[in-house]
Amino acid sequence: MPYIDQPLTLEDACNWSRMIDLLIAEKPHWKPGSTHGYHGHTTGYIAGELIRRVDPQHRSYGQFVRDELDKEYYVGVLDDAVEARVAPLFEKAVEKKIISIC
Amino acid sequence: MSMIYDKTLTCSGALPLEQPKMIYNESQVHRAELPAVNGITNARSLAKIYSLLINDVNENGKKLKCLLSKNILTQAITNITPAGEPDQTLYNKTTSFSKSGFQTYGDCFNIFGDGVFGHTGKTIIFKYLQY
Repeated sequence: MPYIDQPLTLEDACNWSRMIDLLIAEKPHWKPGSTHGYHGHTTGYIAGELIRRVDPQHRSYGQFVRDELDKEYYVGVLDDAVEARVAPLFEKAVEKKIISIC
Repeated sequence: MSMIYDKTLTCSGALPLEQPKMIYNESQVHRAELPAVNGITNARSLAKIYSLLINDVNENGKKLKCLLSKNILTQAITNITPAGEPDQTLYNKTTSFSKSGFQTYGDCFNIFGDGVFGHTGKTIIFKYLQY
């Protein structure tokens, strides 16, 4: 399930329960085990929802990681003091080339 | 948008790449939980998490226990992708993934050599807080 086979908006991608509903409704795009493909985005929702469901406290992925792995690893920044320190990303031609290869 | 590659890498158009404005810098994207693409941290935190998969870690005199047994780690990082199998969503390049989803040594991830695991590390994957 490397992608949802319908156009999505940024609001969709940022809405966890919406993405999980879409993934539950999605049919596998090939016969499982017959081939493979990089799951650029869906892997995060799938693994995150698995963790949320098996965690007795049903924490979100971001909360689980901060509590259990490292308090400085953010998936979802809600603190303005942290947000102010996030370095901006820039795309450069050399990086585009890397993306096109792998 | 129709190509399987585009749908995979842009979350079906929600997070387009190569735009004049980098969407991953938007505070709306920073606030959302997108585990595959918006892990935000610093180098020390990232190194600590990966180190904890391999061994115990001494953090300022405090011993942190390794997260995985050697048996689980071995299973988690062993390539299970048939040699030379084209990746359906990455331009049919040959990629290699383990059972747990780590990228493993192969054509597309050939630094460090055998035993390496993780991700090739596109710029969209990790960002670092500036200290």
